[in-house]
Amino acid sequence: MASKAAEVSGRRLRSSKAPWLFLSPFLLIFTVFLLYPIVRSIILSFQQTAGPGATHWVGLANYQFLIGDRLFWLACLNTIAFTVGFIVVQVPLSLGLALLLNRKDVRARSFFRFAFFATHLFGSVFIAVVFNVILGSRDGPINRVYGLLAPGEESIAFLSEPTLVLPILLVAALWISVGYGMIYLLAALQSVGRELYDAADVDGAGPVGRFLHVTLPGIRPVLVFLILIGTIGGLQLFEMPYVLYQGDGPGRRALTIVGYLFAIGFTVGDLGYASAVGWVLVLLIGFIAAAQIRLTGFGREATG
Amino acid sequence: MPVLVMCALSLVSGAVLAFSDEFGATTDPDALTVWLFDPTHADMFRGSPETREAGITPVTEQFENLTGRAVDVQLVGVRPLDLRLMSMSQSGATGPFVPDLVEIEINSIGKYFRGPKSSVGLLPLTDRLREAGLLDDLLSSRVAPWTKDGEVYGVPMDVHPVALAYRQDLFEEAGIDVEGIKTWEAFHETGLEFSRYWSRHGHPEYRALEMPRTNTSILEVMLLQRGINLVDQEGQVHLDHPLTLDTLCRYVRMAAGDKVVGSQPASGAMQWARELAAGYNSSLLAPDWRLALIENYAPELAGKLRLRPLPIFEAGDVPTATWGGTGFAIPRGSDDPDAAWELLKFIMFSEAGDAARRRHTRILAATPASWDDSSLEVEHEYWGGQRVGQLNVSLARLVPRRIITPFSAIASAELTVVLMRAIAWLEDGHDPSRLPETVRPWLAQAQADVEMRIQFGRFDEPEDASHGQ
Repeated sequence: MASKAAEVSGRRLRSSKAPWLFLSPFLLIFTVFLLYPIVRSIILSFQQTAGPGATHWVGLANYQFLIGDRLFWLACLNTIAFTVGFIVVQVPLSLGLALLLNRKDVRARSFFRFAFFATHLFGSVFIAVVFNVILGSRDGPINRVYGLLAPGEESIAFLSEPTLVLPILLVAALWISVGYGMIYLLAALQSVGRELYDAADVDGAGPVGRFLHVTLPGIRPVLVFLILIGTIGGLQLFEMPYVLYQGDGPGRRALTIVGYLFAIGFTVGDLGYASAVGWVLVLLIGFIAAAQIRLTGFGREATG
Repeated sequence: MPVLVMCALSLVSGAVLAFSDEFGATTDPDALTVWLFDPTHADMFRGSPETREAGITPVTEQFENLTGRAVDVQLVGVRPLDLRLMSMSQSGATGPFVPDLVEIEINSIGKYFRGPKSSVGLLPLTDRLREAGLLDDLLSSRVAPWTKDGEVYGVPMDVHPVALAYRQDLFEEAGIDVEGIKTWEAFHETGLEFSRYWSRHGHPEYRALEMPRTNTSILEVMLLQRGINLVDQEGQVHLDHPLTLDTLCRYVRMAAGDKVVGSQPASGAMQWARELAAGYNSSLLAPDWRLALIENYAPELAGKLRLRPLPIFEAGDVPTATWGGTGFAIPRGSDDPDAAWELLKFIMFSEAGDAARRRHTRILAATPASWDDSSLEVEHEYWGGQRVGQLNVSLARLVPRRIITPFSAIASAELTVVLMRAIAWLEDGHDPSRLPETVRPWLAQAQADVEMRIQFGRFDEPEDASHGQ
C-alpha cells in the first residue's frame, strides 16, 4: 500500500516537473535574450549612462527632454508620413495585382505570381544599395538616359533633393512589399465562396457591386491584417533610409524614429536617452495598433 | 520548390564558408587580435600579395619573430567595427572576443569620451608613451583628438594635410594660372572664368571645384583653415561664430546660385575620382589619403594633375587643414594590454612599421621624425614630377589643431541643415547680398539647439548630476 502511494506520488512529481523541463530551453532563451533586455532597457530609459560604472538615475529627465526634442518630432513626422503613404499605396496596389492574377484568363499566372512575390525575397539593405546605384547622379542609369534625352542639362541629384526622399523610400519599400501583400490577398480572394458571387449575380449586381458587397467583405480580415503589419513595419523603418542616405538624408527628411534612436545610442553614445526613444516608439506602435484593431474589429470576426 | 532550392543554396554556401581557409580565424588562441577597417592598413600589417611575392616579410611576422606572439589581423567594416567597439565599451566587455588593438576612425572617437575618464573603454596610454619617450615624438595637433582631460587614449597614425589637387591641363587651356591664386575669393573669380571658357568650348558641365551641397566635409576643412572647430575642447559651440557665418556664406556663393563654381560630387565609392577625370570637378581638396585613390581610380590623369596649398580667406589663415584620420587604441577589455602595447609601439614607432606604412600607403605619419625619409623626396610622374611628399611635409607642419568631442557630430549635422537651407534659399532666386542676414538666425538656432543637447547629454558625476536641469 505504502509502495503504491509512493509510486503514485513519484508519477505525480515527475508529471508536474516534466512540462517545465520541456519548457526550460525556451524559458531560458526567452529570459536571457528577450525578458532581461526588455527590463534592462526600461530601467536604462530612466538613467544616464556612459559605460560601466558611469550610470546614474535621472528619473523622467530623458522623457521630459524627448517631449521638447524637435528632432524626435521631426523623426515622428517623417515616419508617420512614410507609413501612411506606404499603406495608402501598397494595399490598393497589392489588391489590384491579386484581382488581376486571380482571373483565369491571364496566361502564365504562376510565373507572374512568383515574379511579383520574388521581390520580397530580397532584403531591404540590398534594395537600398540597388536604388543607390540606379539613382546615382551622372552615372546612374536614369541620369544616363536623361543625359541622352536632354544633352547639356545638369543631371538630377535624386539623392540630394529633400522633396524626393519620401517618394524614393516609398518606391523602394513598395517594390519589396507589393508582391508580399498580393500573395496574402490572392489567397483571401480564392477563399471567397463562389456561391456568394452567384447570389450577387442573381440579385443583379454588376462588377462594382460584386466587388463592394462580396469581395471586399470576404477579404476584409486579410486587408486589415496587411494594414496592421504595414503600419507596424512602417513605424519601425530604419535600414532602407540608413543605407540609402547614410544617415539623416537631405534636409533630415530620411530621419526616422528608429534612425534617431540609433544615432543617439551609437553616434552620441547616450543609451539612456536612446532607450527612452525606443519605449516611446513601443507605446506609439501599441497605441496605433490597438486603435486599428478596435476600429476595424479585427479578430472579432474570426471568433464570430 | 523555390524554397527547397533556396535552402539547398544556403546550406552549400554555409558549408563553403565554414570549411574555407580564407575565412577561417587563426587557430592560435594566444594570438593578439587586431581590428582594422582600412584595406591598405591591413596590407600594411600583414603584407599584400605583391610584397609577399617580392620576399618582404610582413610587419606582423617580424613582430612574431621578435616576441613569439602571433598577430591575427581582422578586416572589419568601419561601421561594424565602430558599433562593436561601442557595445564593448558600454558593456565593459572582457574576454577572448575583445580585440587587443583597434583602428578607430577619428570622427568616431568623440563618443568614447562622453563620460568620466574611468568610463572610457580604451586604455589610457599617456604614461606608457611618456615612459617610452614617445609622447614628444608625436605631432601634438594630431594627438589632441585622441585626448580627454589630458589623458591620451589613442595613437594617431596620420596627419592628413589637405592640398588642392587640380587639372592643370584644363585650367591651362582656359588660360588660368592656378599657382598664382592666393585667396578663395580669387579662386571664385577664376572658377567663373573657367566655367565660361569651357561652356564656350563644348563642356558646360566642367566646374572648377568639388563642393558638396549635402554635407559639410569641405566646409569644415575651410573652417579649420580659419581656426574654427565647431565644438572646442571646453565644449563651446562655434556655429554662430562670425567666421562660421562668413565661411558658410562664401561657400554657398561658390556652390550654388548664379555664380556657382562648385559641383556636387556623385554618391558612390570613388565617384569623385572618376568625376575629376571627367572634368565635372576639375579640382578638389586632397588630403594625402586621396592621392593614391586618385592614382588608382583615375590612371588616365597621369601627368595632368598638380598639387598646391589651399587658397586662404584672409591673412592669418592657414593654407591647409586636416581631413579624416585614424588612430590605434587598446580596448580596456584586452586580455594582454602589455603585449598589445608592444605591438602598437612596433607598428607605429619602429623602422619596420615606418617602412610598411610607406610601402602600402601614401600617408604621412604623425611622427615628424619620419618626415626626413628619402621616399618623400621622390618626384612623382603621375603628378607631373612634383615632389608630393615634400609638399605634404611642408603643409603638415602647419596643420591646425582638430578637436573631436562627443557632440561634434551633432554640430556637423546642424551645420549641414543650415548649409542645405542656405543653398535652397539662394537657388530660389533671393538676393545674394542678403544671404548673411538670412543665415545668421539659422546658425543661431542651430547653436542653441546644439548647446541644449550638450547640456542634456553632458555626463555629470553622480554627486552633482544635473542632466541639464
